[in-house]
Amino acid sequence: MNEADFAALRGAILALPYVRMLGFDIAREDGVLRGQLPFAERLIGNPLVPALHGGVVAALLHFTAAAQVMREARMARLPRVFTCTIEYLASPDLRDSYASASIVTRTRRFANVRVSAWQPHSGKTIAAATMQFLTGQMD
Amino acid sequence: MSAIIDMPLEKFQTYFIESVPQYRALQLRAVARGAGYLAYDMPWAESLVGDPASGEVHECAITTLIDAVCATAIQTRLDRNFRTATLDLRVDFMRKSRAGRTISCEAEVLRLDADTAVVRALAHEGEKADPLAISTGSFAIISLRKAAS
Repeated sequence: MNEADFAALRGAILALPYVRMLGFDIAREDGVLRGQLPFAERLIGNPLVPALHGGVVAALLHFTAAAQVMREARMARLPRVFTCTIEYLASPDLRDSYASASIVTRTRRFANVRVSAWQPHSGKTIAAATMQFLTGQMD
Repeated sequence: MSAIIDMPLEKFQTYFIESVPQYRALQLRAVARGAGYLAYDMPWAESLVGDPASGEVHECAITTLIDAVCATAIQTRLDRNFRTATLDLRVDFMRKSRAGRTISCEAEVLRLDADTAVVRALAHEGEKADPLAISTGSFAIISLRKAAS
């Protein structure tokens, strides 16, 4: 994936208002896509624990998985998710979180993606998911 | 035992929604509750859009709504000495949401014991027969009293 292709992929994801509300971004590290969700106050799901909301962790997993599908299926738009199963593995601290994804299997129509998220300050995997996307061109 | 379901809806809103930054960001509103049952609304907002061409709300905002309603539905059957943590959540997306439409989510606790709970939820735009998403989640029950755990 060259610089222009990565810029187009990142641009397509950051064009979504919901992505900007979260503050999600995607980077490349040694050729690997890495989703990132910098801590922000609005992402807090439990002020007493305290912890990020599970739903925003799901979104970090989702957009990282979607980016991986876009890259491997050479899609210009985000693929549509039709089912997902999210496993929560550790309480997410009020810190920056990251994710990376790998395609388990992909056909012309579907992609099954395994994705996990972690927090570097603790070294803990906070969540993982299997997400299934439609990879055919939508609409 | 549980004072939570006896709370007036306004107090419930303050206690379970307004105290949580992510729920304020999604403008969640508690609309109905009972023992093991809960319904929230999430009004359409530009900041939740996942496809600028259609104006649909992104699936992950719906997932967050579902997780919120499921976890708090369990709380309606517990007292303040317990909290919950999501263990896993499966969401099947049935169709796109529509721009401008409030999304409703209802959750029902199917099983609750000392360790875990299973909750089922449905997200829709006012018509349950035409859902946006269906979901099942497993939750851990966590005692806040060290001596009781």
